[in-house]
Amino acid sequence: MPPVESVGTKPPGPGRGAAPVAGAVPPVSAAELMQIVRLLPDVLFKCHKGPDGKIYWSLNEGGLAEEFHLTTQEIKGKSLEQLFPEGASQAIKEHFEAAFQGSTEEFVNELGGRYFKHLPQPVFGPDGRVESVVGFISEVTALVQAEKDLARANRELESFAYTVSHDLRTPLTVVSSLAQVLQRQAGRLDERGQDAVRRVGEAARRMAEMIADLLEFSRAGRRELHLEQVDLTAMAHEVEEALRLRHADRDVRFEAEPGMLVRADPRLMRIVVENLLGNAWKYTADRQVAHISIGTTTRDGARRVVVRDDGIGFDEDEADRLFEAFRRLSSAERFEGTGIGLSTVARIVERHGGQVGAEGRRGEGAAFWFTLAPEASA
Amino acid sequence: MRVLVVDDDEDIRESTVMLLEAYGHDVAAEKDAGRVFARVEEFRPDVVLQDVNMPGLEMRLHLEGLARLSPGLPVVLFTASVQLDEVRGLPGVAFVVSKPFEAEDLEDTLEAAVAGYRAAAGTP
Repeated sequence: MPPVESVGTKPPGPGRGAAPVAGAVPPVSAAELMQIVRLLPDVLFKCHKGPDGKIYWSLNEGGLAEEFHLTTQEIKGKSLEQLFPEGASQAIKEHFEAAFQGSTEEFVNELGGRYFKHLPQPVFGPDGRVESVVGFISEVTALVQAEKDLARANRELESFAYTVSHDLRTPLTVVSSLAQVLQRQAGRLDERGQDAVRRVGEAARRMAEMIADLLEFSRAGRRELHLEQVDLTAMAHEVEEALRLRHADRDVRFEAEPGMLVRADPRLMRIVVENLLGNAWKYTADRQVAHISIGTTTRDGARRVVVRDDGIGFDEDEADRLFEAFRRLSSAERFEGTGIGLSTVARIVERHGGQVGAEGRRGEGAAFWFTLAPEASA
Repeated sequence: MRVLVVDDDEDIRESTVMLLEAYGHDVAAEKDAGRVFARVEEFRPDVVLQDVNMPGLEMRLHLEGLARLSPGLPVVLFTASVQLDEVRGLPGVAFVVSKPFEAEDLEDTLEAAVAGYRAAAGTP
């Protein structure tokens, strides 16, 4: 044990050196502090560089240090390389060397199937150089395990959702096609029979949409964000092309502002663009010639991406409810849809730190906008 | 028009054939991707309705082969998992139809595919 120096609270300024003031806090000795540290289940440490440039510990105390026989006394004079098995020491060394360069980045290392989180703090000397590194180590095995389990469960759910949605579509296609065959031969059916067949077809179609939308909605919430620069203009034109393929009979005049770049997850951003443009396409179906655009504008200091159309619009007082899941508007009753698309959009935009909104009037078109986190509006 | 339906799922294949026949088309069906070229030679379709996910089918090679065999023959892809990115730019692909589909949409798409081909070929 190094020589013990007294630390603790001293009586305030003017009374210094005088008799202790009544009620003054008694000082805590280094020995008492050490006693407290040893009560911790975790580890508090301090390490320094030896004359040979290697890392040595001058303090390593706490429950974990005792369990691994790595207490200050037990590791005295041993360098990092001597203490840890070869594979582990290299990774640990890199992190500690970084801390000696001033890094405070936390890291997790594995030892014997258990995981330990290190929170290093460099201590700077008067010359501004790192004299030592102090820090805190705690076991995070349960957390790491839970994260692994969660990641696996997510992967399983993802593949389950895909399989279910894909495999459900096949029998659904058969139901839907055969209902349409019967509808085609409606002359052979009485009125009730025709109605029944029509309802079968309708139900199959709604179910198909729900499967697709639910799959997308669940993905939008779970998928890890991979941010990169996204060319929104090019993406909009790709989606436009896909929509034109699906609605070959429509006359839609589409414009996309050139050079729109954002920082976002490209796959999720694609879902946003598909939904907003898809809606614009859908709700202009009544128009002989429809006009749809995507562009940017600045409002309240934030850059907004806006999709406009000259379709059926919506009542202003319905604007707030547009982004709620499974909610459809009275003005949209004639149009097919599950009401999940815009909530998927909202979910994705919110995960990017942005906001969504809509402006419109019944019969006068709609404008749907979103922002991304300020740093994302590259 | 003459439509060749290519799908390995019997129910899908049969129901699609019935539907297209109900719309008055001449329809042939093939379940085996490896036999599609022979069926095209023999049936001479105006358009091929091709399932995207068939066992042992490498779509690009398949479509390139079809394009060589019957230049300009329009192919409409038929898919349960709409991943348009994967099919964009494939040779001969006129349109994509998602399963399940509306008969009217399928009808429009097949007509547009064939009309596009005829326009390109300069035939009325």
